[in-house]
Amino acid sequence: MKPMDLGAARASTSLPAALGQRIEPTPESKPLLKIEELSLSRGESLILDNVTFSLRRGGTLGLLGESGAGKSTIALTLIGLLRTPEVGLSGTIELDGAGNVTEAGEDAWLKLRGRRVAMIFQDASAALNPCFTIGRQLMTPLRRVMGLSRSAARARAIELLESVGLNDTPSRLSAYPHQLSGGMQQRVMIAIALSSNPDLLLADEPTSALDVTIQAQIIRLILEETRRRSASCIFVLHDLALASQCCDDIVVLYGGQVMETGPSRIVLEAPMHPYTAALKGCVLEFDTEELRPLPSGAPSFASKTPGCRFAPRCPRALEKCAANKPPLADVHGRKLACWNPLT
Amino acid sequence: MTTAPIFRLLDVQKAYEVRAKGGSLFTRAKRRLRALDGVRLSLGPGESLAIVGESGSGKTTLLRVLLGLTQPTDGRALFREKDIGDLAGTDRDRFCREVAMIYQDARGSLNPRMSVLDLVAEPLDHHKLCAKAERRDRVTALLTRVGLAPEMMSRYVSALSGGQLRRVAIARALASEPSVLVADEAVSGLDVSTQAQILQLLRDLQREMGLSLLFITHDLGVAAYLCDRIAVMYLGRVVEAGATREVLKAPAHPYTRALLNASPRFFAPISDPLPGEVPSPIDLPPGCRFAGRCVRAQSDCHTREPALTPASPTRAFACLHPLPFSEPSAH
Repeated sequence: MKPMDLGAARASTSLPAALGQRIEPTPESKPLLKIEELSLSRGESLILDNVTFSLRRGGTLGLLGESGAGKSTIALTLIGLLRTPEVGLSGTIELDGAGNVTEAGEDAWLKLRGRRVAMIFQDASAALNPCFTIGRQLMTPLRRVMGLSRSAARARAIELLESVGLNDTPSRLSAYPHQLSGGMQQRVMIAIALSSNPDLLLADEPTSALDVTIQAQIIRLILEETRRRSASCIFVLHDLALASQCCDDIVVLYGGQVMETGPSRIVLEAPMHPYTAALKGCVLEFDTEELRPLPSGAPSFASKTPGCRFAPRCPRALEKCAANKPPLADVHGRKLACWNPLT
Repeated sequence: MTTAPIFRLLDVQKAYEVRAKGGSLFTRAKRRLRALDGVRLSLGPGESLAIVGESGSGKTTLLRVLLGLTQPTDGRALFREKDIGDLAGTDRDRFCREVAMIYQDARGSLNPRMSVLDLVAEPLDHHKLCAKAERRDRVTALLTRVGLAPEMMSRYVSALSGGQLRRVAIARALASEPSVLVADEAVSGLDVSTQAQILQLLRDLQREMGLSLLFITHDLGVAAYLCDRIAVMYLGRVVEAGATREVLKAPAHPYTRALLNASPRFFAPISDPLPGEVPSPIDLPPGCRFAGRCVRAQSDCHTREPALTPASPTRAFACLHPLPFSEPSAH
């Protein structure tokens, strides 16, 4: 048996139960995704610095942090879209059944992208092609990837649209994206992502452009559909309250470094990293009297920066924080990278 | 409050004529789209009011009416007891100076060819509020007030971050020494930490300068933090209004309840969302417009249209079968 990873540890604790029943993974099951010491550099900049986390089959994980934290970079790396020559990748991304895909070539990615790993983009209106009908955009992957005939693809497309809650589906197939509301466009994006029954779904801020009631519908839909297929899902989010509702585990990132990671119940209930605590202090609840925002600032990505990248903004920074990078260590049911954590 | 309100909307209605789908261009029947339907609001000096609702609820049309960009088809929109559409001469100048707007898209609302100095000084120049010699000092003071370094003056929009842009937009709004700030989704699309900073700034400004604030938002948390009063809109109508804390603690209208349930809260289960989406505002069926999505709808909801009725001095709602809500303790 492998050493306990976060995903397996999560299975034994009670669940946030956003939707009640969950698939119970067998404790010895291999994680679907295991990322170890993943670094990504671009010229002199180190965009991701030793990112490590894992995700169990059927689990949900949230990547949290401000803009520039590297959340979307991780998502794009996981679907093999950051493969230009100037990007340097090191470390391992182990996808169950595909081995280490860090070094995989485009041929290998063509077999994974859209098939085993699919993505829901943030802005559905920009991600859908305005020149083609919904039907065409949904049927193309079904025919190309799944090898269905035209009529079978059409039948499956109707099924998929129904499963994501669109009504009047046959006529929707001939609609263009601009004829649909934002919520419906996002549903179509989800249908496209689900069309090939992926094992891993990446949802990059799937609801940030939507109204709250539609947001609740869409998040529920993603959770229901991934659960039905025993797929795993990685959410990229900036809303901690939403993350506590839909993610089993969370990874808090700052400047491409993992600050704190673990079961969302544990990490968000009592954050130990000053950064997680600061993010939580910015969440508005209906009785919030005082906000405690962090001072402004942006992380430095210079690869030579030796210490914790959050140190310049950190209210609890010590002298050694800027000089030495704290290791990601197991503390109180989570992993934490901090020299001076909250207790 | 006994002082005269700054803004008053009296049963404002705004209808647009649109052509329905189908048929030829000439035979298509004209339909009425009622973007605002009988909206009654008032905003007094120093008050803060949040207008909350989803897309399509009429928030933006309401804003356009308030700013005099659109004439209501029925009812009256008053600024200091005068119709906004009829303001002219010194009244109009006064309106333009007293009502300052912060737009949703800060980057789009600021001219990329003007430096921060010119952007913030433009209202000063337009209203001739200070002598040329003083201009720089006034801008320095304004930038400092919103938490920007005076060195920012020589920068252009393209060199500013999202949070800095909002601050410039706020400084520009404050330049004309307004009595009312009108903000349309002024903190959406920002990181939580930047959003918190801007919200803190807006609240401090409102309290310290005694400004009135009309804040349009879809985020109930933002409304609760910034505004003493709230008006919840659905399809062009105010369905519930009152003191923010009281309304959010025990909403009477099922739609307010649904909005509350849908707002993310730590570790709460993801709520059963409302069925469907906001229907088209064209040719609405009789009765309550929310009835089709309402879990508490009964047969009379589809025939009788509820009016916004006060239930207590601080609460009003438009619902035939409201949720139980506690009366505020009498004093």
